[in-house]
Amino acid sequence: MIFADMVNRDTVPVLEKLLAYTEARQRVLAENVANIDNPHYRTKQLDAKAFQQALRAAADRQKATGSSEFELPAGEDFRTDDEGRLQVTPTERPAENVLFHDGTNASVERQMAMMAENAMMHQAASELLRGKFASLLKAIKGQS
Amino acid sequence: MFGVLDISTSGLVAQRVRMDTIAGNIANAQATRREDGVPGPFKRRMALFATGDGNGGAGVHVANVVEDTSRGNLVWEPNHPDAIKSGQNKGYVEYPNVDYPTEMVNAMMASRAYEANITAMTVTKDMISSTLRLLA
Repeated sequence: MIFADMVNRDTVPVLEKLLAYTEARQRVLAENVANIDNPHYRTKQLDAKAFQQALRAAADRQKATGSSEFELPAGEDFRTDDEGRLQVTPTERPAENVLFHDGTNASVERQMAMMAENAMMHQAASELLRGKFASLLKAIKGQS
Repeated sequence: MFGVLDISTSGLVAQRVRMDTIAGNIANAQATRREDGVPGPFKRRMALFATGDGNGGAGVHVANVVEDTSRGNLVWEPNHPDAIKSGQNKGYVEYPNVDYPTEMVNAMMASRAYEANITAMTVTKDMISSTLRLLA
């Protein structure tokens, strides 16, 4: 019971979802980079800001209700499936420039910047999660 | 997560094939005979990219390599064995329609895109290893 409480409450579920999300987003970004000079390809995107807001709202809600389950309501481009896994559906970025005849909106700089940001978010989430697990382990072993 | 590496790999493969066609174009820039020995200029080749890895997965692949059929430069060389024998261009040799600047620019683009895919791969690899370190 105590153990379930520790892994289902507080930061652990939030970090877990964030890890899953950054991994899914990395897939989308890698695909954009692979197609970077493919004519007519429209880059795909996931709205990271909306996800983080949803995550925050879900964490606040859990704190307020004191529920033992962390529930993340589905957003526009993400949802949680029956087995509790995060599923994402990337949307096509609207073409906002008239520079290219084929209407592509590929921008390698933006993709790489988003990838760097995404990787740092992943790094932060995994570091924090590792710290959390390490302290849990310390408590279990009862030694310093 | 491991599948992400496949996406970047598909990008690497596609760019490498494109680089192959560019290298072939430059190497054949003066070839006035086809593979079978018949006179006729080499035609510049282009790699056509298509979304998806070709087997239903995400990524990119080379859908086809096509020839640019436009006419090449005509050079007045009546004694050249591959000179045009009849018609209004008699005595001219048609050289391949390979344009060095175009090929060079394409080569640079291919190499930059290749680098971008390598970087994406490195980032993915770091993410995977940091996830795996959670177990330790």
